[in-house]
Amino acid sequence: MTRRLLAVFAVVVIGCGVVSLRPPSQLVAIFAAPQAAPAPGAVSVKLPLEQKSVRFAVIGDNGTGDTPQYEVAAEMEAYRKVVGYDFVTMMGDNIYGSHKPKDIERKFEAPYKPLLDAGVKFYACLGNHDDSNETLYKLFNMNGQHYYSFKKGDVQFFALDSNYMDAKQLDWITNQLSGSSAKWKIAYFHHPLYSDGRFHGPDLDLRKQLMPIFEKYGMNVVLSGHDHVYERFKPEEGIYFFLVGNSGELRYHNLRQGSNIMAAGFDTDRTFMLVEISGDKLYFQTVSRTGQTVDSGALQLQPKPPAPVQALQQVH
Amino acid sequence: MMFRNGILSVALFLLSTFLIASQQRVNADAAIAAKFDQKTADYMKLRQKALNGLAVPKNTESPEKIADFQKQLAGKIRDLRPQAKRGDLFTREVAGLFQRLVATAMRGKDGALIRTSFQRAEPIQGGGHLDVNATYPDGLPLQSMPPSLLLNLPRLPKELEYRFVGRELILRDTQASLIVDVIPDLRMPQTK
Repeated sequence: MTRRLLAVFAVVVIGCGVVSLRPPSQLVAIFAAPQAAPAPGAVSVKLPLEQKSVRFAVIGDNGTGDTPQYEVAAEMEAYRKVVGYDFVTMMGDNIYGSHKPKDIERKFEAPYKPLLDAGVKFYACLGNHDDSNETLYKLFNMNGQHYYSFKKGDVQFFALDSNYMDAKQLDWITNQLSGSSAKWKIAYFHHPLYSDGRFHGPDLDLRKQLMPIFEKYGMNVVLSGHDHVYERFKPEEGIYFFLVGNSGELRYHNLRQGSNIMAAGFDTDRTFMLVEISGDKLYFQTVSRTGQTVDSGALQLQPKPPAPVQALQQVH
Repeated sequence: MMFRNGILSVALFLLSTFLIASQQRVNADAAIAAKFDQKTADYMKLRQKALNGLAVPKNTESPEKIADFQKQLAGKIRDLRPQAKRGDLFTREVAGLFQRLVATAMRGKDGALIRTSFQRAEPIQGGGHLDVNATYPDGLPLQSMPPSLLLNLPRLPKELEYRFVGRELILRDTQASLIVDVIPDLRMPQTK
């Protein structure tokens, strides 16, 4: 009996050793189970909060106007006071249902008022429930465009319109990426290229069009929504993928079990994600509606892809 | 020997007939696409007229201003095309071309991907009868368009877009949220 216990102990110790021996480019946090609910207003920051780092929050599928959206927004504000992030990227479905002015107020301006009052900027992309004229709304910072780019420190963001990925947009993202010298390149758009959500799942046609461009020009991180869950993936072709589609909506217990692409997942409450980028490291922390940290870790900047090889000229 | 030459001649004749017919089809489709481009350009001219005197609320914090702009633009476009009806831009031959283009895309190597993309993007059901010149129903989601399908359809100016509502393909003015034209019952053939 004692021998058997010792054997089990040895297996556990060796197993822990294997996890701790993962190289830095691998995911640090495999899966952190939600902790006990913290006291209201209490925050537990897992980010290093380094000087001159780029800090932002990520939300997706948020614009319901219902109580859970307001509760997530309250947690975001509590964390902002400590983390000091100054912008939010939105994964689409910013406004569900009707788009009358009172809806914009109830589904966006009111829940995020403390953040807006603190000067936090929101950078939206369009989901399938959004209206094209959201591009004209100043607080979404889209400048009338369906797809656009902006820079923050060493990071360049590419907000795409995955509802309508036509030839013009594919040309645009190719040109933008080929001309970008940013250390970190982050794309975000509504429909996920990878997802274990059972309700929707990945958009394979979009993946087929975008992945070759992302791989060729060294995209580092891709953020999406659409499936109403949180999911982090093992790197695909060296690119880090996150899905944050539950900042207002939620599909309870919707994640496929036994997935071999999932690094972490959470589908029993709403979440938002915090990101800090400093030098070659990206730190992330995903927080639930009730303030529990459901996932956190650090990712290493990937090496740049090799420069395109010029076609060899034939020698006569 | 003579028999073999005869067979060869017949085969060559059939092949050239097929190639000529295919080329004629391509030329005919290109001509139809050009007509559709012209009708689209005509709509854009009319739209430009409607925009005259309207201030586009670029970067406004006021959702009311955006809603007013949308309403006014749609109203002025309606005033400029009061007799607009189904088939004005999507004429019978244009609708036929679109049916062929969709069928080609769906039967091609990406057909299965396109179908899956449609299904996973939340297909729009029950949009009701969509009238030309009507406003796209407030609150009804917009069906995402699979990229491989879009790449097969004629390009549009950025103010216009194709969207499926059930089996209807609509041409939508994005800022006016106006239904410019409709192809009813665009059938999606089974993929390979």
